[in-house]
Formats: sequence, structure tokens, C-alpha cells
Amino acid sequence: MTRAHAAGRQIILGAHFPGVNNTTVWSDPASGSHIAFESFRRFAQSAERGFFDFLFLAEGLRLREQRGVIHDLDVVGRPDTLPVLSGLAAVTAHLGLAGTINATYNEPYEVARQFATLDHLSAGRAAWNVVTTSDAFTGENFRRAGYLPHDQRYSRAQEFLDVARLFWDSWPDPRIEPGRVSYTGTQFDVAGYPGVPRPPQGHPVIFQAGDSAAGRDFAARNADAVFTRHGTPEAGRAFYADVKSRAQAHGRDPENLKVLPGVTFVIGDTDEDARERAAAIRAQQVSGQTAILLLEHVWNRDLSGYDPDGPLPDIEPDLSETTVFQGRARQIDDRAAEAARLRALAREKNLTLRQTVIETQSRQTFVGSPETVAEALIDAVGTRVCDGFILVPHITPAGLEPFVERVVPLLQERGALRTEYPANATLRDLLGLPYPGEAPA
Amino acid sequence: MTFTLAAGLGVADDHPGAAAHDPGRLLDPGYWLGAVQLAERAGFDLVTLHDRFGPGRLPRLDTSLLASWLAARTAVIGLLPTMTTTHTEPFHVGKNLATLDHISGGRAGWLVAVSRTEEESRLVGRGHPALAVPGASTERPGAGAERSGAGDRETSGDLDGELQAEAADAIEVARRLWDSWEDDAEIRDTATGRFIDRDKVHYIDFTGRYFSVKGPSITPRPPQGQPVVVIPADSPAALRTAVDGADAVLIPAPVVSDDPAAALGEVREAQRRHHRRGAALKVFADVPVRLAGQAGQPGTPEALAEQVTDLASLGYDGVRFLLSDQDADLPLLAESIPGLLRARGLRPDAALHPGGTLRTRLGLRPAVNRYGPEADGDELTGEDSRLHRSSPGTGEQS
Ligand SMILES: Cc1cc2nc3c(=O)[nH]c(=O)nc-3n(C[C@H](O)[C@H](O)[C@H](O)COP(=O)(O)O)c2cc1C
Repeated sequence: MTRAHAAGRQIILGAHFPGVNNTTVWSDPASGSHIAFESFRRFAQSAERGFFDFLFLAEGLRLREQRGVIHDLDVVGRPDTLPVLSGLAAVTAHLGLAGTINATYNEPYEVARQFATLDHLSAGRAAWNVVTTSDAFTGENFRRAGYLPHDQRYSRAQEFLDVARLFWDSWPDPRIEPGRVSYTGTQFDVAGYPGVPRPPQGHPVIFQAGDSAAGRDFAARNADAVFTRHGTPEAGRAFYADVKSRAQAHGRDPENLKVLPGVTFVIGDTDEDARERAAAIRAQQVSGQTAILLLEHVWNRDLSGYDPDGPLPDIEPDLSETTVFQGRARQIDDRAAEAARLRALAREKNLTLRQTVIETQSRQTFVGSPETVAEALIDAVGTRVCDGFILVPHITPAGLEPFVERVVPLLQERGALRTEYPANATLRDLLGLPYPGEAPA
Repeated sequence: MTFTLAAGLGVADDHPGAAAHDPGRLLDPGYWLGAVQLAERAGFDLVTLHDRFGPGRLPRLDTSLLASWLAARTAVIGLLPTMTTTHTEPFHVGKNLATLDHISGGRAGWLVAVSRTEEESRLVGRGHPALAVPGASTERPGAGAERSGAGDRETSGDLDGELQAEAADAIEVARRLWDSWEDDAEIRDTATGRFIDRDKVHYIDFTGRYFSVKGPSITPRPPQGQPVVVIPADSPAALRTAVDGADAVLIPAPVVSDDPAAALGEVREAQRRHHRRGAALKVFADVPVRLAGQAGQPGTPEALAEQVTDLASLGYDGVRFLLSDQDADLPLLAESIPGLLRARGLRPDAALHPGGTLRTRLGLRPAVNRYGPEADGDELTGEDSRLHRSSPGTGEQS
């Protein structure tokens, strides 16, 4: 291996605890509990052994439904984000702890206090992924029941974050009296004392994961990192250029907004071995039943009568606003065009319904030998597809281990990843981010 | 009979002079771990972690998260953070405590609080929501549906009555959420491709005067089934809430020192009057501890042990020592009290039993899932009504 990359850019690595969707394979004998704290401990400790920057937890505040009943084919259920991260703070020493918390179904005072607490519990390792998902479906679980019109989600999120920052800033030192916060805006009217003094990082690291123009602007203005789906080279570079220029337009150093796509990976002894494994994993991820359900997202119809091993449905998609599925962040914009695309593909390659879904829905991002994968990661960061990755393994809790054991040493060898954690580093330190109030570097 | 020993930590804020030295230590979880381990090693059954919204002289970590941190570093002791029913969403309370129970392996409990001050309400930008209800409730989805909340009791419209009726509803919601997954809902059936049996995951469909919650919880049923719910009976309305939904009630220290027998009688009478379902409330007395020579007259461990023994013989199920000078008094208490109580025959077996749940330690019966096959089909709101229907309010006296 050459040292050509030694002077190259450092790769940021996040470890996404496997989520409640069909990426996560629960039928594999290696698959363990996704609820037991032991699984989180093991997952976090393998990330820390691999010198990762942070662990990442997603959130969904209502169990998903399809055809009006609780979706039962994927992993279902998860523990509460902030208590899990607090528990992990007690059993890890260096790893950042990033939690997704919704800005619609919470109050800024309480969330500010909880993230300040997590930052103290972890000596400066907390991160908050601010999401705005706000449908009436999820709202049925909350006091505030209602939801916000799409265009108000980000104005609430902005004010939410503004208020949280006031609370974080208002008590710089526990030995002096706290300052009083007072805020009146269109979404909030709050006043009072923070309760928790300034977190070690000043503010927890802020993540954002929306993709609309409003979402990207929110990130450009507020976030330290963006969690994105755009992980392929072309889409990634376009997204990267877009959000970095938005950050610049807000007067920020674009280096201080990290672009981190969520990516999947399959490691094999050789590239060929990895490709075979990848195909087998895709087949595990898309059972016949799951193929039907995923296709219902396109057709927006009950397709339960179709044979997964037969052809694609011959009827046309239902284009109405009402959807057969609820509680998912991702929607398909143009169902008719997507159906046409799938039909063309099935015709061309002579695929069954299930094969078509496997072919299109779940391609892994990085597939290859450890060398191939390490090279591809370094290349993506070097060519500004992104600043690093949030890795999404498909097995709980051991799915990160092949990467840690086989790819991490190569990244280290090539100077793209730290070989030890700096002493007493906060997550801001690990990511090379400035502290709030600090002059731009 | 089990006599429960609890330590109330973090109450120092109400104690003048407590801020004197290094308030920054209160932000270090290691400080709290030291205190909780002292209590754990001394054989205490549980600690409560005092908390509230808003200011105090001292910094205050969110105790629900502190408890989860502590859960990962302790083995035996019960952990009861404070959560308010006035401002925190019941759905969040439910999954937070369920998660604490998962992390701790069945050692979670809830010290229920209501937020009575305007100061706390201003922090979340509303007036007292409980008092603002009538107009607001009509705009909510499901508001027209038949109400199923515990708040159908009469409230005189005063603040405490409303806040406590809301607390009763919040407890009811948390309890239903904890039961909303049956223990064997996760099936991982590869033949049918199903991860869960959706017939074992239940909507809770709670519609009350203050909020509606559809459910189910996003978090599977906690190891205890039902984490332990404890309420300070600091008003008549609070006692009523305890009768409706708690496992244990805390009798405030001034009441205990005034007439402990009368207080106990009142709790029993309230259970009869309001037809408490399920096991009788455990009644714990709050006992302030002043062993070190700070402000006021310090007591002696022997006097304290005498007081506790008296309370036990009156019929109290346990005591919570309130440590307003935790740094000075907890070590003295931990070192003296277990032996003194053992000598008085009160805690014959002070040894810890690792692996047991908090419910077991407190002598509470295993929680029967209201939605499961063992539940009484027509009685979905009361805890474990099938077992105790015959003797409301007087269940477990022996
Ligand atoms: C990669 C990615 C991950 C996301 N994860 C979550 C999540 O865990 N929980 C959630 O409620 N929303 C999640 N979202 C939804 C977004 O935060 C956001 O609310 C949604 O995309 C709608 O905003 P937009 O219109 O700006 O895209 C995610 C979005 C993306 C792109």
C-alpha cells in the first residue's frame, strides 16, 4: 500500500445502530436483541475499538403501519434515544453520542436540559440530530396532538434551536448565578432559568437530516453536520457542493459543516466474495412479503394478492394523496414514473416481482475486499463526495465488527483515520469543529 | 414482610447553605455514582433522585438521564428519577422509564411530580395547561370520543386538583404503554417473514380531559412489566392520585413527625373510600436526616433507628431518608443504620439479592399485563385487578 494518501483528508466515521427497516436483517442467526442494553454496549464498544467519531441513533415516535395495521415484517420497537445514550456514556470513554430528537413533539427547555445533561454525563460527547417529521399520525401520541403545516416545520425547528441555545448560553459557570432566558417568537414564548449550566461543548454538536431546500438551508445555517442519503459519487458531489455553498452564503466556513451520508457496506475476502455475500444479504433483506410491501410504496395499493415470484402488478399505481403506509420519513415523489422504470427493468432483465425489488431497493453502497472498500472511502472523501460516513450495518449488534477488524487498520495505515483518541477530546474536538462563540478558524 | 429503606438524593437545593462548596461537582456523574454506591452497599432498596424544572441555587442534571447513566454502573439498587406529569409528555415518560428498566435489568421506578409553579410553566411557554383545558380539548382529534381517563373524578377546579387529576391520567397512560407490548410479541418467524405478532402489540387509545395518546409504545414491555410508581402525598389530591395509580406513597416529613399513626390511617381510609383496585399502597415515611453537625441540632443514628423502628411497628412499609446534606450525612447513615436496624430485628436479612427486580425487593406482585391472556377481559384500566378484586384497599397487609 502506498503512502500517497498520507497527507489526505481524515475520514469522519459514525456508527448507526441498525434501524427499524428492512436494511436490518433479523432472520440471520447472528442477529441479537435490538432492545437489550447489552447490544448497545457491544455496538458502541466495537465502534470505539475502531476509533469511530460517534454512534448514531435514529428515532420514530410511532410504530409504522401499512394497510392500516402495524408493520410486522421489519425489526419493530426501540428503546428511548436519550436514556440509551446516557447509559452508553457510562460504558464508553471517547465515542460521540448522537441522538435524533424531534423538534415538533418536544419543548425546547426540556430538550436543551436533556442534551446539556447528556453532554455533562459524557464529558462533552453529545450530539443532537434535529428532525422535523410532523405528521398527524405521529401526533396522535402527544399532548399537542396536532402537527405543523410543512412550511412551518423549519420555522419551529429554527426557533426551537434558538431557544435551546439561549438556555445553553445562560449559565456559563456553576459558581456564578444563572442568567435568565426570555424569548418571544412566533412559535414559543418562554422565560426562566436553565437549571443545567453550560454543557462542556458549549452546545452539543448539531446534526440535521432533512433534504428539502428549507431543510438544507436550516442545516447550512445551524448544523455542524448533515446526515444525508446522497452517498453515490455523483449525487454526493452535487449535494456536497450545494450545502457547502449554502453554508458559505450564511457567512460560515463551509469546512465547519460536515457532510455525512448514511452508507451500507459488505466486506469479503475478495471483491468477488464480497459481491456474493452482498447478493445473499439483499435476498435476506427482501423476503417475498417485504418485496410486496416495498412495492406498495410505489403502487400505493394493497398488493397482497400478488405472487412475489410472479411478474410486477399489471394495474397502475394509485396517485392519490392518501398513502397505504404511515410513519416513514421517505416518500416516492412520482409513483407513475417509478412504476414505469421498474417495469422497463423487469422486462429488460427478465425479473420477477421480488427480484425487481432486490435489484432496485437495496444496493449496498460499498462492496468489496477490505482494500477495495478502504480505497473507495478514501477516494470519496478525497474527491469531496462527503467528509465521512455514517455506516449502517445490517446485523445487530455485531455488524460493525468486520469493518472495524479489516477496514479500519487500512484506513489508519493510509493516514485517513486516527490511531488513538486524543486525551480528553470532546466530540467537537474529534470532528475539528469550533466551539460556539469562538471566532472562525 | 419487607421493610423498605430508601434514600432521597439531590434534595439539597431546599437546604440553605448547601451551595457552599463546589457546585460543579453536581454535574459530574461520578459524584452521584459515589452516593448511590454507598447506599447500594449499605443495603438500601432504592434511591429517589430529586429534580424539578427551573432554577435552584444548585445545578441540576435531568435525573431521568442521570438514572440511566447510573443504571449502567450499578447492579442491585432501585433507581427512581423524578418526572413531571404537568409538562413532560406522557408518551415520553413511558418510553423513558421503560428504557431505564431495560438498562437496569428491572430496577426502574418513577417519582411522580406535578409542577405547581408559574415559573415552571413559563419555561415551557404556557399557563398551567391543566387549567387551560376546556377550550383546548375540543380542538383535539379524538376529543369527542368516550373518555377513558382517570380524571373523571370530581375536581373542585383548583390548581392542585387539576394537576393531580392530570397526573393520574399520565400514570394511567404510562401504565398502558408499558403493557402495550406483550412479553412474547417478538416472534422472529422466518416462515411467515414476521418479526412481531402484531396481535400482541396494542393501541392504548387513551382519551382524557388533558391529552389523548394512541399508542402503542415504541419501546417493548420493560423487564418489570410495570416499573414502580411512587407519589409524595403532599396534598389530599396527591393522595387521591396515589390511590388511583401508584404502587407506593410517601408521607411528607412534617406529617410523619406530627402524627404518623393518623397519616397511616388516612391512607388506608382513602383506599377504602376510593375503592383502590389491586394491592394496597405501600406507605413510606419521609424521615429527614441530620447526623452531621451542620445547621440545627444533629441527631444520633440510634435516635434515628428508634424512630424508624417505631414507624415500622405502626405499620409503615418503609422509610425514605431525606438527605439535605448528602455529602456529610450519607456516609454516616450508610455506616450506622443497617446494623442498628438489624439489631432491632427490622431488617433481618440486609444482604442484597442481585438479579431481583425492584418490584420483588419491595414485595410487589409480578405485574400482570392488562392486554395479555391473563388479564381480566372486561377490566383494562386497573392494575392487576383479577388478583385482588375481593379486598379493595386492604390487599397485602401481611
Ligand atoms: C438520512 C436521513 C435520516 C433521517 N432520520 C430520521 C429519523 O431518525 N427520525 C425522524 O423522525 N426523521 C428522520 N429523517 C427525516 C428528516 O429529518 C426530515 O424531517 C424529513 O426528511 C423531512 O424534511 P425535509 O422535507 O427537509 O426533507 C431523516 C432524513 C434523512 C435524509
